[in-house]
Amino acid sequence: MGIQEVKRGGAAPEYPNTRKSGQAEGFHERLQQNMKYRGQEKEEVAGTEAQTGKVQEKSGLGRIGAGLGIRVNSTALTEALQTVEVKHMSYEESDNVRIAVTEGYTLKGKIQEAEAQVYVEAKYEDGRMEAYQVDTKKVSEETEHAIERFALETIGGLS
Amino acid sequence: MEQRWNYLVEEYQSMLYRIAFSNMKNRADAEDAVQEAFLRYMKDEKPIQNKEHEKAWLIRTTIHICLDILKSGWYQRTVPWNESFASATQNIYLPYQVKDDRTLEAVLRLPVHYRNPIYLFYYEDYTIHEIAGVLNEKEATIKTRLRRGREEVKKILTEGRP
Repeated sequence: MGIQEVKRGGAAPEYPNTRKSGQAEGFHERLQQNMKYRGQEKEEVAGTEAQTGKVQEKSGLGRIGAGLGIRVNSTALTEALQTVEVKHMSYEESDNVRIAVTEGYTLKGKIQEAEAQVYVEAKYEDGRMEAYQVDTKKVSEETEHAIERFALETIGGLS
Repeated sequence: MEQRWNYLVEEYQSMLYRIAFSNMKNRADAEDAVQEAFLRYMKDEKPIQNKEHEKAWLIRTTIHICLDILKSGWYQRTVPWNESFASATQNIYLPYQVKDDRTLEAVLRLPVHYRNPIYLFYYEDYTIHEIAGVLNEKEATIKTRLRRGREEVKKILTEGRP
């Protein structure tokens, strides 16, 4: 009494989740394959975005970047259009307001004291705000640029 | 007391009425909702931190009152929804010219969780941060609702479905 004998003899127990030889390699292969597919997916998405950008450029919005239709990036700035600090002007203070719900932006325009200058403030659906100073004397009436057209509209150049 | 009431009415009445109208779609109920919001504000003893807080409180309360009225069984039994909708855009006098009544009408047809963010963002010129504060939602939620709501507006305009 007092001492319990434990036999270590007999077959080793089979555990169902024990890794067997060759399994690790299989997992490694699957992981590599997955990584490869992910890489391909990313390339496909990038390709689609590039195509979308091209379509937007062709759609008459002129030098307007990708995104919510009228976003102007640094390359889109023209001689007549300069980015300025956002003043957070209200609708009441504005001389012209455009609400483009289906395109995801609003524009507010105010004629400045300096001759032919229009301050334009844009607010986008993703929360970004941008402001531009437009010299309407340098804007062609045939311009396709959304901000320039809005500035002309504000100053009365377009009906 | 009277001074305070006059200040509230002068400062916020028009804006709150438009927000109430965008929810109720009829003048009488919108006016009732705004009046109720002012009364609750006057009775409320919680300290208001600043003007922005005051404005947000009033907008939030007005929207809640509107939604409570809309949900009430009495309202659903007594108001013919389609009939009152026809004059909606003629009763919202925005402080600027709205050139596109059809879009505003489409916005007013949206379900409430899209309508309020879209209306506040586009027609009252609120920022996403402010809307999130007023509606007690995360900014990411508001952005998603603006995007999805815009898609719904497009569908209403192109397919004509509410």
